[in-house]
Amino acid sequence: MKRMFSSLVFLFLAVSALDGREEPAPGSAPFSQSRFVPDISLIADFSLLGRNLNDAAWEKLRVPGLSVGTEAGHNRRGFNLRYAELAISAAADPYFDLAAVFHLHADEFEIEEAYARTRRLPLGLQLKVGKFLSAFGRINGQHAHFWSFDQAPLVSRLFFGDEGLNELGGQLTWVVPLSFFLQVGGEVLRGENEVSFGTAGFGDVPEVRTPGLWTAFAKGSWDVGRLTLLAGLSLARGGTRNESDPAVSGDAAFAGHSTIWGADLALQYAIDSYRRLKLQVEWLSRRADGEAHGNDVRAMFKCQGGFYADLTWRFQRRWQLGGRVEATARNQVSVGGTPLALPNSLWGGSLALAYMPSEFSRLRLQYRCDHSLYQGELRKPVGEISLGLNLAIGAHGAHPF
Amino acid sequence: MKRFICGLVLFLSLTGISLAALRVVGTYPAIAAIAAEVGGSDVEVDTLADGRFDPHAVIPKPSLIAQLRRADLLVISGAQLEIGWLPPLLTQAGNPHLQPGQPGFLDLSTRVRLLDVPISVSREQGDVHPDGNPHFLLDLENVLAAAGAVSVSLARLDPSHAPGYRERLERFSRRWRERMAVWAEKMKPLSGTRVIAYHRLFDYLLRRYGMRLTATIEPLPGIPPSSRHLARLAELVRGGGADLILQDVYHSAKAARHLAALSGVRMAILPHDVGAMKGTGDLFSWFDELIRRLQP
Repeated sequence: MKRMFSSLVFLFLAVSALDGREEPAPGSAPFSQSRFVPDISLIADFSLLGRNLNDAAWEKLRVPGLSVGTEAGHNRRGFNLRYAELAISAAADPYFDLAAVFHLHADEFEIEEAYARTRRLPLGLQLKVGKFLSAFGRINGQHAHFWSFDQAPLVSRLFFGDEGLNELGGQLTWVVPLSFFLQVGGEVLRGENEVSFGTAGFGDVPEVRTPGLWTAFAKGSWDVGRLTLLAGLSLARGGTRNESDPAVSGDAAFAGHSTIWGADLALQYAIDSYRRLKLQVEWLSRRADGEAHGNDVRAMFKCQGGFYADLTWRFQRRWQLGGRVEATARNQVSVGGTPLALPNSLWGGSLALAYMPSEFSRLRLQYRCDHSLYQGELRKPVGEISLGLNLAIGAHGAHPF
Repeated sequence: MKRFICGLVLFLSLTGISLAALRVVGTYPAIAAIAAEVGGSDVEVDTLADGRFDPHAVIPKPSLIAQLRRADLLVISGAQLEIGWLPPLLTQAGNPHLQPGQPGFLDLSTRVRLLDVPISVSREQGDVHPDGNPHFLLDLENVLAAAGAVSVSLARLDPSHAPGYRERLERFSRRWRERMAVWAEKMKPLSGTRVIAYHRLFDYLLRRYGMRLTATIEPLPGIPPSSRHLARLAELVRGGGADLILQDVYHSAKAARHLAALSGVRMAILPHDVGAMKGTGDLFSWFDELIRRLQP
């Protein structure tokens, strides 16, 4: 009897000990790192597009002296997934932030940005290293979902391409300790931008030694009551290698140097917490000096420029109306001392009405006309109407001014 | 010429750093007012947001970067009230002293008890505050807690003036408690009042005086009212389900006016922050005005 009792006690103890082993103590996850999860967000942009030309005809068009052609890509007639943008960012440690933005399309995965940024350099200095959108000008540094229109302005696209000035390199900025905002900075970049710069050599022309591009910029801002003014000056200079130069018909390549400078101005008037009126103007000018390599080698010189002006009116918390005019102001190219006959009055415009049900969703109806595109010698006016839906989920950082 | 400009910039930058007293930046006017009470003449106080505007939707003006660049102490409300505008400013300012975790960064929401902390969050519920209701400075006790936290931060950054900070804190607390007793007396008759507010902006104030929020004019945080939601509210006020309609200064008062006209229920427009209205330039006048406007 005694033995039976003790064995029962033993069994009970053994079972309870096993029990304890099977169930870990509540709240114990000693190696879980889930609370360190970085900020992750996904922004998707869909559109339904109508255009007066079919996709094949549209792809054949070019801007004389400035662009060799457009790819319909994610702006075809009908439904488009324009992009899905996945952004991940967090502080790596007390010294560095790491941020990456991935651009996803149906059949491509592109690292749009991946950069490290210092957190505690002294004297208001900040260093950024990696692949990033250059701080040149104003619209170039902003992501597409933040724009008031579906496209980048004409001059930006003509000088930097559809992806903007987005390069590998380093950036140093300094906020000057004054009572008003003044930031100066510069970048040293690889210079692979395929439209205005480019590094790969061709024929007898050697490649550009990288880093082949540098930029410098200064931005200042003042408030006058409810009006905020932000003005900037930017400069980019670097070697250029372009195997299919748009200015020279036939198979001619361009090798030389390009300098782009820009001036930008943003004026915003806050009517109340939600309503605002904003004007944004940017002017870009490009000079390129070098040689055209075709059947022979001839001196080549380009002087081109243009501007855009965006006026947006957030007339209600949920509604915004915007208008844009964009044009080239100069399109001079000379080869071997002879100026080319290029059209000068290239222009376009957009009207956009946006409805934002919340901060995280936006519907936008946009009409755009483009009088910069030519088929051969013939101008082909393009008209486009699009309805876009943009949604953001997850932890997406706030946008700067 | 170049050398002259360089020299001038250097000179300005040096004077900017060394001549001034401790520079304190508060994200909202009430926070700056608290810092001014405690810091007195030993500090220079700036505020980032305008008290007349929506505290959630502050425009991240570059001029605010200049203020952050030169600050020694940044005091924020926290609980994600500044999430939509402050982080990029702080990044651009590149001021290592103001980074979270540094002595120059003070998050007041960590020093008070937050109300309405949601159990789960989804943006399906609108623009919810995942850490709880961040409008806690509308509780008089929390103003005192904030002042205490500010004085500790100031004393840590500027030990030579610590006795001054402590003394001013004590003086402020004494005066504030005296006024609290007066305000509590005035608010006694309003205990049990059922309230409709545009946003959950005055919850802390209501709780302190035993008032109760029965509905909000916005159906979900950050979402303007639909006509269907307004119809439901109209039914509520007509049925005698509310005694008072509270409206802030930055949302449209149309819906509140409509409901008040419909039912005869009284509507009061309240200042949610220092400087939200005329005559609310400091903490005492702010609360005087709040209490006055709540009186029948």
